Amino acid sequence: MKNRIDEILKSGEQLPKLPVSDQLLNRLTQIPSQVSSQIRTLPRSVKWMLVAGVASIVLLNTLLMLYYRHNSGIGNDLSSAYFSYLKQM
Amino acid sequence: MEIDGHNWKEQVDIDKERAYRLLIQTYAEKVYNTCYRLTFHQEDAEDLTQEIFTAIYLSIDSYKGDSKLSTWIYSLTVNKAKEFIRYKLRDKRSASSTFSLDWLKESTGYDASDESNPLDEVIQKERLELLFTAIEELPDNQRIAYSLNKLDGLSYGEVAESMDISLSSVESLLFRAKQNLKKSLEKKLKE
Repeated sequence: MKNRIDEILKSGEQLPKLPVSDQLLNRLTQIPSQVSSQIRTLPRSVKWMLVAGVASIVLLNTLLMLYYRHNSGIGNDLSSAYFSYLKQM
Repeated sequence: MEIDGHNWKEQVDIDKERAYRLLIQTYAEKVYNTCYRLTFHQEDAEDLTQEIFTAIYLSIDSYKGDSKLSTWIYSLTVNKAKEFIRYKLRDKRSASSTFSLDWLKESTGYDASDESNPLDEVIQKERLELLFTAIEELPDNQRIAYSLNKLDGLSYGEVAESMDISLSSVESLLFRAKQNLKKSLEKKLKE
C-alpha cells in the first residue's frame, strides 16, 4: 500500500511542460487593446449615472451639513435661554 | 530566461505594450503550466492564465523594479489562483472526470508507458486521476503550496515568496499536504 501511494505521489512530478497554444497566445496578446477599448467604450448612460451619483452624494452632504449647522444653532439658543437664569446669579 | 526587473521597469516607462509582450514571451508558458497544475483542466488553465495576464497588464505600473520580476508574477498568479479555485472552478467537478491523458499526450507527446505497453498507460492515467482528485480535496493553501513545489518544481524559497509566507509556513503546509494526501489516497485505494 505504502509503495502504491508513493508511486501515485511521484506520478505528478513527471508531468511534461505544456506548450502554450496559438489561440491562448493570441488571447494574451490582445489584452492591452481589450482593456483600453473597455475603458473607452464605457456606455454614455453609465457615465451619466456615475456623474449623477457623485453629484447627489455631494448635494446630500451639503444639505445635511446645512441642516445640522442650523439645528445646532437653535440648540445653542435654546440652551442659552434655558440657562440664562444662571447669569443672574 | 529571467528578465532583469530593473531593466524591464525602464522598458515599461518607455513602451508599456512592448514590455508586456516581452513578459508574454518569457512567462506565458510558465504561468500556463502553473495554472494547469493547479486546475488540472485545459480550459480552466487557459482562462486563469488570461485573468493573470490581465491583472499583470492592469498593475504593470505598480511594479517598482526592486523585487524579482518572476516573484511579482508568481505572487499575482497565486492570488488569482486562490480566487479562481474558490469561486470559479467549473462546477467544482472532480479531476477524475475532467483530466484527459489523451489531451496531455497530444499536446506534449507525453509517453506514459515505458515499453509501449497499453496497460502502463491505463495505470498511469489511474494514478494521475487519483492524485489530482486527492489534491483537489486539500485546503486551498496546502493545494497551492503542494502544486507549486511538487508539480511545478518551485523551491521552498520561491513558494514562500510567491505565497507571501515564511519558509517555516511553507514547510508546515507541505508536511500537512503530504499527510492529507497519503490519508486520502489510502482511503481511495481501499474503496
